[in-house]
Formats: sequence, C-alpha cells, structure tokens
Amino acid sequence: MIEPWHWAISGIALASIPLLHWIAFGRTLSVSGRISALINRARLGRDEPTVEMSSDELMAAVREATIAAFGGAAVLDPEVPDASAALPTRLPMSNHLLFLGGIVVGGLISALAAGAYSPQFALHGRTFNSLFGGSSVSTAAVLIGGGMLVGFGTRMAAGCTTGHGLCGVSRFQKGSLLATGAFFGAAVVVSLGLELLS
Amino acid sequence: MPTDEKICPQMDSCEMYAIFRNSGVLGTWKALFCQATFENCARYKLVRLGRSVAPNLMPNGVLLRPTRKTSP
Ligand code: SF4
Repeated sequence: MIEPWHWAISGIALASIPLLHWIAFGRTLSVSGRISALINRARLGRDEPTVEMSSDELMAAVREATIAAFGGAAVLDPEVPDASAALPTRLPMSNHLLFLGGIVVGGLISALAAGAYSPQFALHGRTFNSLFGGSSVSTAAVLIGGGMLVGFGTRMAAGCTTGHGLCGVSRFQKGSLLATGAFFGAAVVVSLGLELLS
Repeated sequence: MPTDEKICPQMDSCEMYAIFRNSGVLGTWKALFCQATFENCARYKLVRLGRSVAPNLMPNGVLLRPTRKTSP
C-alpha cells in the first residue's frame, strides 16, 4: 500500500498543473477538450481549408463577407478593437497527442517508480461484487457502460473534472460550480444508493 | 477547452476561427458567435449534428466564394 501525499502537497501539485498549462499555452486546461479536439480533427480529417481558393482569396472573401454582414466599420474602424491577439491560437494535433500520451506515460512512470504497478481487471468493492457478481464480463460491462456515461455527461456539460473541477471552480465560474456540484453530488448519491441496495 | 459558458467548445478545432484571426476580423465574429451565442453558429450546429463542415462556411450560414478580381 502506497502512502499518499499530504493533502496540502497534493493540492499544490494539482493546482500547479493548470497554472503551468496556462503559462505554456495561454489557455485553461481541459483533458476532455483536448480529446474532443483530437477526435473532431481526425473525424473531419482536415487541417487546411480545401476550398478552391488561395489563402489570400480566402482572407479577402472573409473580409468581404464580414463587411456584407456588419458594414465596413467591422473591418476598418480602429475603434473596434480586435482582441484576437489575447486569444489562444489553435493547438496542433501533435500537441494534443503529446499531452494525452504524457498523462498515460506519466501515470505509468509514477506507478513504476512507487513500485505499485500491478494492473488488474477487477473492481474490488464489496458492493460491486454483491450487485454484479464480480465476473470479468460484468466488470467489463460496468467499466464500458460507466465510461460511456462519463463521456456523454462530459460532452453535455462541456467539460470534465479538470476543466470544470480544477480550472472553473478556482475561477468561480457559475457553470463549473454547478457542474462540479452535480457530478460529485451524483457520485455520492449513487455510491450511497448502491451501498443501501447491496 | 475553456470552461466559460460563453466560449465555443469548437474554438480549438474550428478552421474558420483561425482564418478570422489571420484576416483581422475575429473581433466582430467572436463578439457575435465564438464568445457569445455560438449555439447559433452554422459551423457549430453542423459539428453538433456530427456532420462535416465546409471550410468556407461562415458562422452566419454564408458560403464564401472567391471575391471578384479587378482586371489586371
Ligand atoms: S466560428 Fe462557430 S464553430 Fe467556429 S469557433 Fe466560432 S462559434 Fe465556434
């Protein structure tokens, strides 16, 4: 059994990750967001516009469409500030792959270094075993079903424990406070409910 | 993905967003779609439906065509 870090050290370590991410990439950390970005880009299969226009033509067409929609001031008026410089640029696919791969490799290195690497395909809870039998089929069904529900909820809430729980809550974002309360609240209710049923 | 409710979750993978930025018109579209009512964006709606998005589709549904060139 590994001795866990003191909660205060764990808290500082966790907080430093989104902070370093902000410093490195100028955007809030979100693991599910990076996964969605990766999947969307792979699914849509394009990195560059494929329309039959050169890049200059495309820029000119965008400016023309902007003027048509909002008038010349949208492009020409210096009083209309373009805050784009302060906004994050689109990250390349390799950046997402490196980041997500780093989570897996980092976890593995950490487990190996602590001498705690012993992968098992089992859920050991007493409640789980009494409710689902503890066979490998029921374990797989619960893990896959649970993973799909987590993915569905994450997309619906536009963020996961990292984006909402770590970054959003620390910035007092209303949506994140609500989302974090909802998913931690649901976890407490479900585990107490299962405990009662078992 | 930023967690602010107002920021479009597609911003990171949206090709048009990068084009707005490079053509210097991002402020206008961002204020109306990308950081406001992105649910109304034609591109966002297609992604949500699982459909592919034409690279020349503007958030207001306009499909870009090459602009008329002046004669040389
Ligand atoms: S153009 Fe539409 S899809 Fe792209 S970032 Fe803006 S709101 Fe989102």
